[in-house]
Amino acid sequence: MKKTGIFTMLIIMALSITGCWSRKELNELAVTIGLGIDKTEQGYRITTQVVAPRQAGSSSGTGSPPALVMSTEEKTVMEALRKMTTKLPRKIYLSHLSILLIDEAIAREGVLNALDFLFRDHEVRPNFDVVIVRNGSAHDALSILTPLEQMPARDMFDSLNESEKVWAPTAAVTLLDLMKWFNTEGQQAVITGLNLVGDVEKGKGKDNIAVLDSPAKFEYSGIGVMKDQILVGWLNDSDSKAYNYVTGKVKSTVGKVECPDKEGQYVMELVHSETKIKPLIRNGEPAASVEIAVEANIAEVECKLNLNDRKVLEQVRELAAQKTKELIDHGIKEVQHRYASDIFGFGQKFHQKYPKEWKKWRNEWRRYFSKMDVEVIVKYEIKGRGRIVNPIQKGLVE
Amino acid sequence: MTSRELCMLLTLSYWGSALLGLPSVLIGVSGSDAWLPILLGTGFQFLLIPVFTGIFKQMNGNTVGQYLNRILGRWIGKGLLAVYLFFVPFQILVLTLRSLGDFTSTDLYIETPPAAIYIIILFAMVYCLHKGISAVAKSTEITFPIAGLLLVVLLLSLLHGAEWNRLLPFLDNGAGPVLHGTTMFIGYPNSEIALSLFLAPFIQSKQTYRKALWQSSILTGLGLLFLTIMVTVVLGENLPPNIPYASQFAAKTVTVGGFYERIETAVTVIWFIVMFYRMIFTFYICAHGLADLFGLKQHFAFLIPLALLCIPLAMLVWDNPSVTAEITAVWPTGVIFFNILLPLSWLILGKIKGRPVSK
Repeated sequence: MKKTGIFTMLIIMALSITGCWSRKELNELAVTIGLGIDKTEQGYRITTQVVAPRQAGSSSGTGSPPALVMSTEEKTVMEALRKMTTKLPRKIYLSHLSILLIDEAIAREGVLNALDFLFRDHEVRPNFDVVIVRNGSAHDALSILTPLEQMPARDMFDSLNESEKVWAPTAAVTLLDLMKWFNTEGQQAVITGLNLVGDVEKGKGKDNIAVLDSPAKFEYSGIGVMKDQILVGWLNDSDSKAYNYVTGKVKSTVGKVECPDKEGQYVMELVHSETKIKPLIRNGEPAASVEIAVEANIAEVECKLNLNDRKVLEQVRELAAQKTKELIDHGIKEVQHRYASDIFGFGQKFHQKYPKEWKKWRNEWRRYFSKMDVEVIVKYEIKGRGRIVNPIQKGLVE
Repeated sequence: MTSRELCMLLTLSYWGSALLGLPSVLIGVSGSDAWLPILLGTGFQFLLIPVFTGIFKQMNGNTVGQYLNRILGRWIGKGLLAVYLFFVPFQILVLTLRSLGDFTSTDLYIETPPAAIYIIILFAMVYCLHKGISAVAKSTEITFPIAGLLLVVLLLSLLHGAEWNRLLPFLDNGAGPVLHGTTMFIGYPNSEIALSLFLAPFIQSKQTYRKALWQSSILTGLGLLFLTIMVTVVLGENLPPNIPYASQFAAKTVTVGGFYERIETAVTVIWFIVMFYRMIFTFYICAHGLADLFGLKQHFAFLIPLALLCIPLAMLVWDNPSVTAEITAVWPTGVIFFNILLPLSWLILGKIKGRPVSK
């Protein structure tokens, strides 16, 4: 009797704890890795890049593309995503999203409405990158085939993260960063821009991966300055780099410096950089000092120099430090005067260190920020010269 | 029940829904100083321990019902017990059940009707309590290390995304928000120390009881303190108030080297463990208290009716999630009265009544 009881109970439990209520098998999901949002007259056009499982797994390639792109138009993002089922046999699954593209029209108007769904939905993880497409639409950008990585969206994601690491004038901004920035006083957001180059129409076909030099490519360029949720403008490469220096995001980058004798240039490869921002109060007004410690190697030399000479090396170091300082100074000034949007987060630093003064300034922080005195101190250190000491040449430099 | 088992049972039950919900609430009230209320509240709890060990001594092996009858007389004692049972353990049970349902339906099993989850979990609890509360306490020997270890894993994973100056500025808006946060923390989960009195008949000596209270207060405080600090340094002070399940969201942000991800599963596992103990603990108190109230020897008869009562109540207790915010705001007032002021009055009454006997 007792055994029968236990047995029945086990069966009941086995039935109930398998958790099959809202199960979704892999073959019922459209795993989306790239999402694009474009502004249209009707509302939004949502483009999804979905992994085509059969093609993605095979190494030889069956000839059909590894992913497919689908787009719908609706008033709101969520509606458009659900409407996708009218064209796809599976439900869009967003957990593996790696990149979100929005077009510049949305960015100029304010991104929060378009992003609310992504902030809210439980399926979406907050770690994917957000990028603004500067020319053309997010739909076009997602439709380009990429030669190196099978999944175009993955290619974009990796390219952005790699370029942030070794090139610096880009910023891999994730949804989480935006969530924090849009919520924090004294800190404005930035979003990196993406340009489409070449013949986009050709890029959508198989031609793009059939030839060595793909006719259409994407390239990241410039950091977009936001004011609250609205894009106010773009920074050029060197100012973008300055942004990354100030926010301490530079892991490695290269920078060219003019030779002491003005003939040619030499290139420094940055291997380590650390930033300290100190908020200060001078005569009752906010000011800040940005101290950047840089370690770099000499990577390419066009000058006629004897790099074995301590004095020459010191001169090279000073010039490089000077150049870096100018670059950062220029970047900060540009942001202060042209956009007056505190993307460096100085305001937050004041909030943390001088809470009392901050309360006086917070409402007019834009004005204070734009005329704030920022002192840049660069501590430059040359670590190495590479394999050779001097440029290869006949005879010695005197 | 040994002191270790009691300590683990209490800790798991205090952690209860607090691990998931408390950081968001406290950061909402006290901003970046949210860790301070936890320190102050835990300190306050240390002061309360003598009150409860004092009551424990007066109870002298009796159940709470018998004790109240003795010091307050039969009718007031029973009435007070009934009111207490309804307002504290029963409410906690229903609200915890509901918040479990809310969590699973917003973040985990979206399409599963919460009723299905309630039924399964109540079934498990009825079964466990049928085996007795001692068996439940013994089971913490297995589950507590799991929950503790996962909590440590979670805290270490969060270190990667920490920005420590998010803890600044210190006391931005003065002491007010911190004191407000402290009352919240004393109310929930600290004041629930009073519930431990219902386990008194199972405990050998005052020393065992005191040791368990000290240890569980420290463990609870430390766990919540570190978690709240980590949530603050990872998400800042502005985001968490807008995310009710902030610790789970913080875990979602963890990515180390592109492969160490999806730590939120750990949070979910911890949370199911601690919620289960919180509910089973209050469930036991309800059933046992009712048995006491009606003078029954066994509480088993109450298990299934209570469980059945909980399901519709959990579904009806609030019509939409915004009510949680309202409940959170008033909750401390109620529980501080029932869990701190009432026991204090019992202790004093017991002292006065006890005097002639000791003479």
